[in-house]
Amino acid sequence: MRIFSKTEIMKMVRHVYARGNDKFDNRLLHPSREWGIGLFIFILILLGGSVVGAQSFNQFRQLDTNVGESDATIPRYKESLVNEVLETYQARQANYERLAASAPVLVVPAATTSSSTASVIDLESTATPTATSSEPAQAESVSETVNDVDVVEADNQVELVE
Amino acid sequence: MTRKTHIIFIFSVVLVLVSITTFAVVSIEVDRIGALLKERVQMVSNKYALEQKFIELNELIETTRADREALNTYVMTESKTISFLADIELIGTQQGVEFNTLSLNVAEMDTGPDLLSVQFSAVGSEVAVAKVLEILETLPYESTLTELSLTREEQSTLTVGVTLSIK
Repeated sequence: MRIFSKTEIMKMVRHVYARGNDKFDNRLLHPSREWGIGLFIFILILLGGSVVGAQSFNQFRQLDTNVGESDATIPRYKESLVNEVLETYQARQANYERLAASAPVLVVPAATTSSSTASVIDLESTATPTATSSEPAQAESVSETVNDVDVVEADNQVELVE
Repeated sequence: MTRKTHIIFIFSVVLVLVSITTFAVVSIEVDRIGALLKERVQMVSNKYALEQKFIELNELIETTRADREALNTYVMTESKTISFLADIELIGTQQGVEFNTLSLNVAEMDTGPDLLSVQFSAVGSEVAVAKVLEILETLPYESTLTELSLTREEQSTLTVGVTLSIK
């Protein structure tokens, strides 16, 4: 094996340095290939950037303020049910008022009649509760003062036993 | 390769790297701000949606006001209790029945109005008592006669004990 001397090694280094520095091997130069590689890299970067940009655009282009959600719930108003309830209670109230406004029930003792039964009569509003006295004479006088005495609730006749 | 070409090459590579880095940084920043914007837009949207529901609820309240007020007249409230008892006693008096209120309890319900429980006794003729009971059955409230006891004191006099539950 040959051993290079220091002078020879330095000469070889200077030779390589000189060739690499300003005298490139023309056989290795291909301008169109280098340009092609450069253009390829440029297009690659352009495409990558375009994809990233398009993705960002697509991500944020559909920002709509009309698609919000709220946890608040509005109770459903059942109008038909409300109307039905109102009708029911209005009818009930009318019935209540009719009954409450009707004249009090008066029991007329049997002494005023030939039989031993008493008639249940409904006095007009002019009659006072004191007219319900069980004394025959008083009840008679009441029945005399009230001209238009209608016998009502005949089924509710009550027998009085003195 | 000349020195000039070498410098241009290095400069080009540095320029490309700087451009790519800048683009990456800008893209990341755009994404970050975009996400923030998206979040804010969602908040605004939710606020709009809530506002819309508030408007709808307001309209519902306005359009149903008359019905609700009408319904409220058929619901027993604490403020109506005294006048209700006075009315009942007045009706009893008018019908010739002597009323005595024995107890009055208000029970709070989990849902809906409170439950008013009234216990009273009434003394009068059979027919008058029957009529009073009929009136009580038609009370314009959600009422239930939970207890009813009839005692004949005399031939024509009845004592009735009633427990009435009203909502």
